[in-house]
Amino acid sequence: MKRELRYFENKKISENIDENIDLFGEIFAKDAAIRKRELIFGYKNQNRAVLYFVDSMINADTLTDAVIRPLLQHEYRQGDTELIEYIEKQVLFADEISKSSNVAVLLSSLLYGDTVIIVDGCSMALTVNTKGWRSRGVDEPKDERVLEGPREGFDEALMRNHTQLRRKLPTPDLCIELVKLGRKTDTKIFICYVESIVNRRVLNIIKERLEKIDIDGVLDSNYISELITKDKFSLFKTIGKTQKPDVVAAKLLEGRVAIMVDGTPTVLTAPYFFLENFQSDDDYYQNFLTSAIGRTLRYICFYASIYLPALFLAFAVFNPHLLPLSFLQSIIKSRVDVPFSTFGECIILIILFEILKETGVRMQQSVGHALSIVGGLVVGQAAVEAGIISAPILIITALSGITGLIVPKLKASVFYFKLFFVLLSACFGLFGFFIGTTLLHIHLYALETFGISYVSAGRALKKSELKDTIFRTSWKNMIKRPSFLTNNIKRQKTER
Amino acid sequence: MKRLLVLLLFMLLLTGCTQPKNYIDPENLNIVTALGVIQTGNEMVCFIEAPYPQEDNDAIKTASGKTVAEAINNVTKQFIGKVLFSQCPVILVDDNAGAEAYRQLFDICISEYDFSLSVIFVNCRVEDAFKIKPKNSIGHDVFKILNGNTNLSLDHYNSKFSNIYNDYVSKENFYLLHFDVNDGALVIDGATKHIKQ
Repeated sequence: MKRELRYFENKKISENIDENIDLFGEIFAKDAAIRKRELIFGYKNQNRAVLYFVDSMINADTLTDAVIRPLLQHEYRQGDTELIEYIEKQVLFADEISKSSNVAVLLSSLLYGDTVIIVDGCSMALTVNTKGWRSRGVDEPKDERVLEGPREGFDEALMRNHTQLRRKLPTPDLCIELVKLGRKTDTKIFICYVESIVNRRVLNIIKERLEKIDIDGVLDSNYISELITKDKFSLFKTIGKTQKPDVVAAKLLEGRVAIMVDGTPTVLTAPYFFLENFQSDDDYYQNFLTSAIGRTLRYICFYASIYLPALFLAFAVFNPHLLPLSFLQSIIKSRVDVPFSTFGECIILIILFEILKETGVRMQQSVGHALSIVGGLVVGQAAVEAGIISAPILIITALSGITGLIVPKLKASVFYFKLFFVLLSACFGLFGFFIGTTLLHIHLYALETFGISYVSAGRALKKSELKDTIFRTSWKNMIKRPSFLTNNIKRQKTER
Repeated sequence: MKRLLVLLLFMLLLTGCTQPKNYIDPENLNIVTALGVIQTGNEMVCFIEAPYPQEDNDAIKTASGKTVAEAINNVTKQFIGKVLFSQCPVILVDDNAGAEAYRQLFDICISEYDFSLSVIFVNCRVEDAFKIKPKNSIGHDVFKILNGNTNLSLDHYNSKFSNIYNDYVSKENFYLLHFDVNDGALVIDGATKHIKQ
């Protein structure tokens, strides 16, 4: 069944309540959050009504006090004014009530937190304002801070997360399927997608892999992430993670699938491509020219981070003749009294930086300044002055460490890549470095994310596919969705 | 993963790139900053200035041989660690050196040693030049002088060895200059006026 709102624009509700119940049942067959409440009221219980609302998007007290209780307590007798008008004007206590027979209007209100009341024998239905979702009380996710744009983040309650997503996409085309995983925890998981856009193949793969999971407990989305990804040993993520509803909504609108897990603010999105590692929310909330600088820098910094120590080692140790004399002289002068080899020094500093980084993440904020002093002054300046480490390598590894932080989605992998390239360079020099680069890119090109190539966006080399890759063009030009993601590629109404 | 490991293993075993001699920490490098060649009869005498990393008075070493290559080999044996010729910007050739010395030097520069693509041949009294003991290095001093003479055009020097020079000049790698040693310093003498066009 097609669930987009436009399909219901000319559809009217029936006077027969059972037909209406069937219609709504079909529309929301794949939405586990829709609630239905049937009532029998009036003189001698001769009237029937059914209430539809979205769980946790409504205020339960309002619904009970302003809708259910008055309805059940009033006695409507035939011969009075028409029933639906009577209920609207004389029964309900709600502040805002409207009447409509159009199914699209009713659906739209329902999905935005109103309660729809359908009464048997009436050709009109009422929508009552019962909105009551939780106002923003959750913090902006620390890893996904933006300068502009929405700052709200998910929290640990699945239904609240669902509400946040639903507010972004108030369309019945948004399907939310409930799956329960974990023999002991029985964790609720929502598979969310926009039915008219979603990539069916990806959706089926995800469902198949979820069905195969047999685990005693699911306490975080990472359990699911590791269990449903194919390349478990790859350092590149093939499934996205975000804590922001706007990001999930944007990904769903491109044909992706989102997996919400109860008890965690992290929502998974699939498929996930290499280029997504370098995308930031700010890229879309700022002018496309401004955002181009940031995104380009992220690419440069990622490669600088994994390559810099290895290149330095290859040049200084194997190919010093390729360095300018003055640079080589300063390296030699700084290394004369250092007790470690260049390779050893490189490894020590890389690991030291990781220790400082990890400590910074785990410890209390109040101790941060002490760490900066210890890390920056003691380890840095004092160690150089004492002749334990040399300044050029300290600068190179510090630069590599800092540039690695500019791409937060890859910051964990960068450490391994750095070590891999340093080891290759220490064994084979520039030859090893280029072998490593080749292996890295072979691996990248061989990776798949739910049946789609991990580097699809860059590999297509079609003008239409490259509009949101290394740079993002204006929204005016991004008329189509990426064709490798969805068959429904038309994003904007008219081509310019 | 298995394929990757096999590939890495083959790289380690078969390429020969893992020989420890290829791994040299920079502080163990002897960077040659100037090479001098004197011809005495049938014998070639080589001077090598390598102030790094020692930076002591013994930075200049000398040895002789029947050919320039042999003389260079004999000098390099006196250094501990690798001798790096790639950073050598100048080769000082004695005023008395004949065409054969130049021919051998050009051949060495092109084929045998890892000299950089641009080497300046300085025609001067080599023994005096290497006695100067400049603050930094002879190579550094030559550059300092060249930087102070912006009118110098290195491409147009007409020397007595122009025939040999022209054989190699097509590669545009080598430049020939004439320096003199006066009062313990390298100076460009009158002959270099030819350089100015």
